[in-house]
Amino acid sequence: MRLTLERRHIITQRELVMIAIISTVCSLLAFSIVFLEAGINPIYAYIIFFDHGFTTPGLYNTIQRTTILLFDTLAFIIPLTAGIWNLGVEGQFYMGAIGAIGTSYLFANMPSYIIIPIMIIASAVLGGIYALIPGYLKGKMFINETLTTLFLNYIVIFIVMYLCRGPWMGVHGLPISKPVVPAGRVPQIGDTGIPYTIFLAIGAAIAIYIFLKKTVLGYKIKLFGHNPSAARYAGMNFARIASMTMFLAGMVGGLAGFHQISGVIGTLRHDLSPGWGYYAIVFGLIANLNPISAIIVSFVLTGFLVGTESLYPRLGMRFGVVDLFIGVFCIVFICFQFLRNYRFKLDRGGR
Amino acid sequence: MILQILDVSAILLIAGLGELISERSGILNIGVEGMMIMGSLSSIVFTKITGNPWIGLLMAMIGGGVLSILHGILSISLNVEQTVSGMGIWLFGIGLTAYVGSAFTGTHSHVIPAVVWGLTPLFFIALALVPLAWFILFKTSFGLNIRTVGEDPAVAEVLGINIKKIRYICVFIGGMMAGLSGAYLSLVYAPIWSRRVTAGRGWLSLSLVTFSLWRPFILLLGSFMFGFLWIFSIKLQFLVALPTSLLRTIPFFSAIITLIIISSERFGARLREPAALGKSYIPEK
Repeated sequence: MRLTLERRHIITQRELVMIAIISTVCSLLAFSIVFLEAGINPIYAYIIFFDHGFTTPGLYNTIQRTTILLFDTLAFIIPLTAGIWNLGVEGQFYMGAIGAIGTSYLFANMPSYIIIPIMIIASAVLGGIYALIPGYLKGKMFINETLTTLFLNYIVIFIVMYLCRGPWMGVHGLPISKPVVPAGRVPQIGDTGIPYTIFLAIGAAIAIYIFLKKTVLGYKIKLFGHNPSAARYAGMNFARIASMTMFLAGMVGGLAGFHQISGVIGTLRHDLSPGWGYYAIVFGLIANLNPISAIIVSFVLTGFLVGTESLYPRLGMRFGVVDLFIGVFCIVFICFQFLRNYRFKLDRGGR
Repeated sequence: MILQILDVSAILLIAGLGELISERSGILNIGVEGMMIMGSLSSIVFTKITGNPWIGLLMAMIGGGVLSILHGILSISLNVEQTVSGMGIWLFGIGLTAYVGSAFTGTHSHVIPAVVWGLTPLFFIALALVPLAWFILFKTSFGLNIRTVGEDPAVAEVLGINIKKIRYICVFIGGMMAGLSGAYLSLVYAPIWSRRVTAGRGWLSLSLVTFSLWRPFILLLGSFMFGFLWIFSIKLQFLVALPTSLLRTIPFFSAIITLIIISSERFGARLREPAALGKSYIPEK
């Protein structure tokens, strides 16, 4: 008997889910090396880890955080359905945050039911425009979108720093802006600390799922992802598809910024996100670009993130453990990607 | 200031040259930033342990090289999409260094001493690598093999070239040079460690390769241009009354603009890129 690798061309939905689950388990196993290195019993560590991520009160934190990561994951998924790599989710998030807080200053005297819709629109539009730039350049001139989106991420951080130290400065000497006006805060569900924006995120996921699955435009987008030359032969306009998917993605990414400003932090600062826009890349790939799976994946993995964050206060682990977790998770998952092209085959008999 | 410009240029140049060689063989490694930061941390850690910056330098090259081999296994042998694999390299590099490096945060004292005009031997090595890369790529049979593999692997296979071997070598060279440029950053330019210390320089190097139209001497020019812009954007605050933060966006804006110019029909970067770039090669049986 011999175990060999066999090339395959078709993969079922069930097998994809299996790959995601197996790679998740393997990355947790791989990560226990880090616990062992730090002299901590991995089983004990994982009990704390899951306890913190998935039981109250940590669970509330997980759900609150899921809102951002779901928006971010959707923002990554939409363009990749058309074969465009949106690594600029982080930038679109900050652009949305700028839009939300900027309009809250402008309309400071308005009641909540006017100011909040304005903030939502502003963050979506600003995020959308920011993503439209690389989308248009990709569609029209075939400029590598991974580079342009990343450069825009670096640029927006500097813009945020400028705004926080300059025109929107709050406390003198600190790089934090003035707080958002009280009317511009999204109410929270009971005393859980979860803003109602979570429903906006889930609604967006469902809407995007229907859009991609059930509409003609969604079909065109998918066709570009699967077979760009066939789509072009069929007379479809890549420039338009690229611009549109990126604009849509930017809008969703901008909403994550709105959530963070209006629902959670309340001030603009350059460390609003520790890199969630980059984590969303991993989340989106694991969800296999399915917006509905993205809801589940971002909830579970955000629970992991929150669990990981408990590690340094409770177990005295070093800072950066969250980054390492994402790194290990990502690399293990990508190692498993080859199972999309190959499968193990057991040779029986004595050939 | 001129010294700083030269140093930043050399950092961009070394990583860019490595990536150029890798891309010439048809393998796109967008994980330059990850390999660079890996080199940066390795150089600090091993210099601190041994007290000898040259050992740190060597370990930086090994650190970058190991990550690139991982990219090689994934993208060359297992046919994982190269963008996905490169992204994994990047996120893993960032994550690993953030965790391990948190014990090394702050400044450190061991650096490579300067020899002439305040420049270290590394700078001259970086300069010498440009004609060397050009010579190997365009004047030797090995270079011809690399370019054939990058343009048309099917033809290369007919010619009896070992495609996988060539690609592994090129990817490994790319990784070692990204590691070296990270070491240059930490042992010469700024002896300091913080999370994500490379601050986008790896991505700039990656875009410089497109700018160079895959030619080493144009890459040299581009590196100096961006080295200048990087330092200029920091120093400009002393000359004009604009806020520092906004000026710091200059190199990144310029990178986008150069990408636009170079991709226009006149220069046609898309037509000149290695034809098999980013595509995994699966031999027909």
